[in-house]
Amino acid sequence: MPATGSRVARNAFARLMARCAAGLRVGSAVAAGTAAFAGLDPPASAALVAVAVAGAATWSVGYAVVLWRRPVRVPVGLDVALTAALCLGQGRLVAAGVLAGSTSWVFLFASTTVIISPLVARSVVGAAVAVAVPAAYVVGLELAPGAGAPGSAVLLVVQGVLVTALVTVLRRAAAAADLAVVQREATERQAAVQAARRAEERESYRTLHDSVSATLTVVAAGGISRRSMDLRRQARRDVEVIERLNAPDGPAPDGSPPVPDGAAPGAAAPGGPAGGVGVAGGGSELAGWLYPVVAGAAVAVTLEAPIPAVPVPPAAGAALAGALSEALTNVVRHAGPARVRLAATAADGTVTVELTDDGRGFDPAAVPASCRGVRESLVGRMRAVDGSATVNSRPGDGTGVLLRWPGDGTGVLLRWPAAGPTADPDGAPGSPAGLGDVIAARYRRGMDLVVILLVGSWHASNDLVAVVSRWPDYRWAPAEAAAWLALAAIGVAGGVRLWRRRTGRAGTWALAAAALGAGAVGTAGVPGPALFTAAGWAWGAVGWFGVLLLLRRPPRELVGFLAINSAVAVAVLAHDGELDRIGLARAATAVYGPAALQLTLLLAARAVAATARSAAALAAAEAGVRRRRQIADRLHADRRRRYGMVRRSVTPLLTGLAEGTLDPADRGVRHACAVEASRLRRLFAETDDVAEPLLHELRACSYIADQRGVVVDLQTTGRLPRLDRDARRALTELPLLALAGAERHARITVLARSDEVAVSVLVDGSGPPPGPAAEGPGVAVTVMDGTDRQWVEARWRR
Amino acid sequence: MATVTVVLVDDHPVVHEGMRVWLEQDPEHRIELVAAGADVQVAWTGPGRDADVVLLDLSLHGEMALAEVSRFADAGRRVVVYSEHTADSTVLDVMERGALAFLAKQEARAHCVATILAAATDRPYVPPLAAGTMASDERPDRPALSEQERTALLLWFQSMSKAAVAARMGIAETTVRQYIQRARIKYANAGRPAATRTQLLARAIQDGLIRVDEVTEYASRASRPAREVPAPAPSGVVGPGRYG
Repeated sequence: MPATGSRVARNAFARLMARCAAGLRVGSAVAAGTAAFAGLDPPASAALVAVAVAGAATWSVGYAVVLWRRPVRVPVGLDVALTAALCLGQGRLVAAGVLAGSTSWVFLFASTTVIISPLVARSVVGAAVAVAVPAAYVVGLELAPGAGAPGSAVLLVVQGVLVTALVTVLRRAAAAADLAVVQREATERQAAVQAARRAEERESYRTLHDSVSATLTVVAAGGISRRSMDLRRQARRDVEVIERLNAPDGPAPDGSPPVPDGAAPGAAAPGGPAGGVGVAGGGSELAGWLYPVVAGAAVAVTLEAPIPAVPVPPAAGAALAGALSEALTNVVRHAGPARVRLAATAADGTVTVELTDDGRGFDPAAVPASCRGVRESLVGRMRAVDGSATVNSRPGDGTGVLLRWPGDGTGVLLRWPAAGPTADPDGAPGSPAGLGDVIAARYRRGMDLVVILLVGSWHASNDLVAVVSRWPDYRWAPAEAAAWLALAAIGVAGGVRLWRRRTGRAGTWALAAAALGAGAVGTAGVPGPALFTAAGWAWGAVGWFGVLLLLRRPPRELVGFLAINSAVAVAVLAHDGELDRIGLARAATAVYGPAALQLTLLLAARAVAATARSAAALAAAEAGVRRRRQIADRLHADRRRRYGMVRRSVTPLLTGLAEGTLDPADRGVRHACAVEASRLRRLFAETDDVAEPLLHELRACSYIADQRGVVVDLQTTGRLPRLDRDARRALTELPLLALAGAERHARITVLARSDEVAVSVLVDGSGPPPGPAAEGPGVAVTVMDGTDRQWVEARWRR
Repeated sequence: MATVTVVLVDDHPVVHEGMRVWLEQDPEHRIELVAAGADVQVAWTGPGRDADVVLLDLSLHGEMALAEVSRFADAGRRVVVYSEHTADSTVLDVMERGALAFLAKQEARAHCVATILAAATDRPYVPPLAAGTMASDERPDRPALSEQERTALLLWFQSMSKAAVAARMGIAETTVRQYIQRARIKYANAGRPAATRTQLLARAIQDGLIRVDEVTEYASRASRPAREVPAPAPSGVVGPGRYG
């Protein structure tokens, strides 16, 4: 049965009800058949009873099988027809003495039909059956010679109406649960997709920052010779990084760490598993992740001890390797000549990697927000796996980088970061348990309410009428009134406890014992022959109070409770000498009917939660598939959009550097590298959540110029309106190109009004003209070339 | 041959030194720094009392000396404010209180001579940042600038070169200057009365930047006898023309 997101709870409920119905049908056939033969007495004829019982049993089994399979159309009509036939013929099927009461085997069968029909059919059908079957029962009694008043038919009607009401309430609960599930799933899917996109973006930007961007920045700054084989190797690897990021299924975002060595752990699993979920990287041990990084570093690293070969999850391994790689890159770039030491330890499940150098050092507080190295590549990367990175440095005092990964409690269990495409699309918060709890909680409330109302209304109507109307029949009537009042008090207490979810054993059984005691007093006051008439109300009532009190207790407790209650009735029968063959058959029938219904109700209340959970698991799995597919689609689209540009412009540059056809010392090449590095930095800056994204991205655009020693002055006036990313890109593109050509000074101005934003850059020097100026949505550009300075402006108008 | 005297109010001694150097950049040495101090008293007593221009750092002893700006302006003292606080609201507030010019600290070196020389003759000089602030002004009660005036302000803010603005707009450099000055006069013409502002308007009428009937009721009602000022040198020699 395919459970879809919108029908999970209703389907689970329907299946459960069908199974209850099947069980009750077969059980009633067995009990009724037993009672029919045990209580065989004129005018019932053995042959006719045998045929009727055989027919009823055969039908019941067949009907149960049909119900179990849950067809679209349930043959309720046939069941009702057979029941009606039994009712009409009860004059020849039931012993004369049993006929009028509610203890004949036909009554038991009819009662079951009335009860199970609403479970498996629509409420309207259930209500119709609650009229049709009692009608046939009355007619059957009328046809039988010498039968008494058809009072027990009323009981059939009441049963049918109550069960129909109960099922209607629970179906509503199921529908409400379905709606909640649908809403939840939609929000969760959206959140998962967003989180995945963001995590993937950030991770791939970290990768780009550590590889491509770092290379371009170094070339732009100058000082790299054409003969540098290191540069060629790095450029070749960078091209591969771009190709990997650009691949349709992409790398797992935890992916191959961009370690400067072809033998990177990630390379062992090319491309990563489809969908970005799973294990990437062959090196599952810490040593396997870190050694290649150390070996590939452009600086000699002294190991204080061998790197421990402890197993780490790929996500943590990749994060540690990536962070270490970035730290080493920073040493090469900023520390100057330095001795570098590495200490990696693993103790108590915590991995610690400490990299120290005695180089120039720097002031961590002076690192601008647009400088991503420390913030993203170290801290962000470690935080993504619940680890941490701290950088200690003082100018002139060397630098220490401490990476800590606190383990995941198991040491070896693979666990993925909480937010990300690898963060198990099936996992929390949309976990099956969570979903099941939503459904189960809805049911539980509905079930509790139904049981409280059922018991309360039964006691206030049927029981009260019985006590008053049969007052003269009791051995000592005031005892009946006292028993009724005691049960009413117990019912109130039990109902309140149930609603407040207080179902402790001691309290529950104190009330249960009191109910049994009150019931015994009430039952003992009834003369044996009247026990199974309305006068014997107390005995029947106690069973329902048992359901109310023990609804949230293990089923065996209710079985025990009902057994004690039945023993009281049997004791009264024995005391009054009523325990002959027919009396026993009546007692069995009288005990079975309500007990079966009461136990079924209890089991249904319990099973509904479990069924809801398993159905929810199915729904969550399907939702997970949907989510994963949507994530994959979105990520693919993102990549195409994001890396298309990088690939078109950066790859030829890196390829030229790798093959030696481009000279890194050439002014034009350096300028091109500055442009591309700035574009990458702007791309990274676009993922940051800041108050003024345009200014943030402009600072990112000027970072490379700043690195080259250009004095950059940024002036802004006016309040920036909200601009979308395309408009911001169009506004920053020309300034970016101009900044790449600046020599000593650059003045960036931003003038903003609600309907207009003008970004201008004034630079000295006559760098290469900034190519075909990029116009974008609503953006016009102007270039003024002077002999010794260049002035460009990009202006957006609403 | 100093023709203009200046008193400097700034609580950073090193700025006194820097300002002295910057003022001496003027090849004709037309500006003489007659007094400098950390407190506004220096401009009300001694040689500072008679200085043509008060150069006031907005942040004195950790506070914004906005009230001092009003006090100088109401007394008819030509006050030029310079500050590193360049928020639009601050720049506009300073002009509103009657300062003749707002000079951002980072542009002081390049523009202080032109600003002070213009102020000494009650002529407007708009340093680039103040121009940008005026061009981005969107307050509902802002003066109505023409499109050309706004464009000139914006491009001047961007390029810091009136020649470049002229080339970009396809007009003469003197016209660019006129647009900028007219925009500044419109700001002087709309707002709270102050003696300095009246002087500015009077000179603008004299220079033909604005007609008498364009001066608002508000400003003319506030007219009061102008303080004795040195006779203006012929425009183009001392005036902002040469440096503006």
